[in-house]
Amino acid sequence: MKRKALIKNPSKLNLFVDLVMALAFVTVMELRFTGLQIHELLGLAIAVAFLTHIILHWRWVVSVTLRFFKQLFHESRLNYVLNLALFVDLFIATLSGIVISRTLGLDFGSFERALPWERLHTLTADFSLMLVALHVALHWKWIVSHSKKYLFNFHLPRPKARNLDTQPVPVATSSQNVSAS
Amino acid sequence: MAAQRKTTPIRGIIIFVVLVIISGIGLYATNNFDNPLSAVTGLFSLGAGGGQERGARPDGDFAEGTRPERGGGGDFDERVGENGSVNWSQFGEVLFNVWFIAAVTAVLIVVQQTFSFFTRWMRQRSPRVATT
Repeated sequence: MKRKALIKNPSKLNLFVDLVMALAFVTVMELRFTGLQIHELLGLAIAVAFLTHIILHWRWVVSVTLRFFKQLFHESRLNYVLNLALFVDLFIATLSGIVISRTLGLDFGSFERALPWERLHTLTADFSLMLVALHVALHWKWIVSHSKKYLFNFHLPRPKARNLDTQPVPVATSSQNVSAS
Repeated sequence: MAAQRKTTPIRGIIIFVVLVIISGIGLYATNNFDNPLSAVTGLFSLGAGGGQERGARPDGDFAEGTRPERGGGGDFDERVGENGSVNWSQFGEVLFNVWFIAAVTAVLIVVQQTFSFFTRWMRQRSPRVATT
């Protein structure tokens, strides 16, 4: 039932996916906090969640890509460039993380020595914190409005529309009757 | 019916900014405050083979080729934290990441609000063209 409600309401689903992603992201950034095994598993989970996030926003990606070189609202353009940078950064961070992984049981042989993967992983991960922070900052209005709506909605439900039918019909004043006639 | 004016949640913004400042001071006082800009300088010096990383990364301490083998355990695992368990003494670092995201958001909100305030002020001051 709840799952159906989430699918019917993509904004709610977006908010929960983003919230989980954000929490996982700030946690996975600290290797000393999680330990290597959790760090690597959580990193992979974030990569999957990141792809889900893109799929959920696919319409926006396509529409802005098609209009990018035409006239476009400046904030969307800035968003697009930032998101592209974030995508590239997280892609490199994930790829380098998989290559240098110790607990996933993968062996890349000579490919592991082809590039300074460890340094690349650390730098892209640190840089991603800045890009994610900017990404969150640019969407603060959306986050505030949706959090109010779906997370902190403690208000009593509004009266339903059918209740309005029982309201007394306003009676026209004498002046209105004169103007009407 | 009077048109409803779009209002900005100024009170909420002020509370948020104050919370970010206070928590920043708290993180600094508890020695959990790193310079996030060091990652940028590190990125630019990547080609030169240098680069300073944000915080003291345990995996950054290893020279090329001296990183322990897969599943080797030992010193590396001790410094990183036990595999499969969370090292709660490092929780401040996680809070720093949360704080950093909040701080960037706070800066952007303040800049955005200040800019829109001055834009409105300039518009109000500029003489209106009389329409006949």
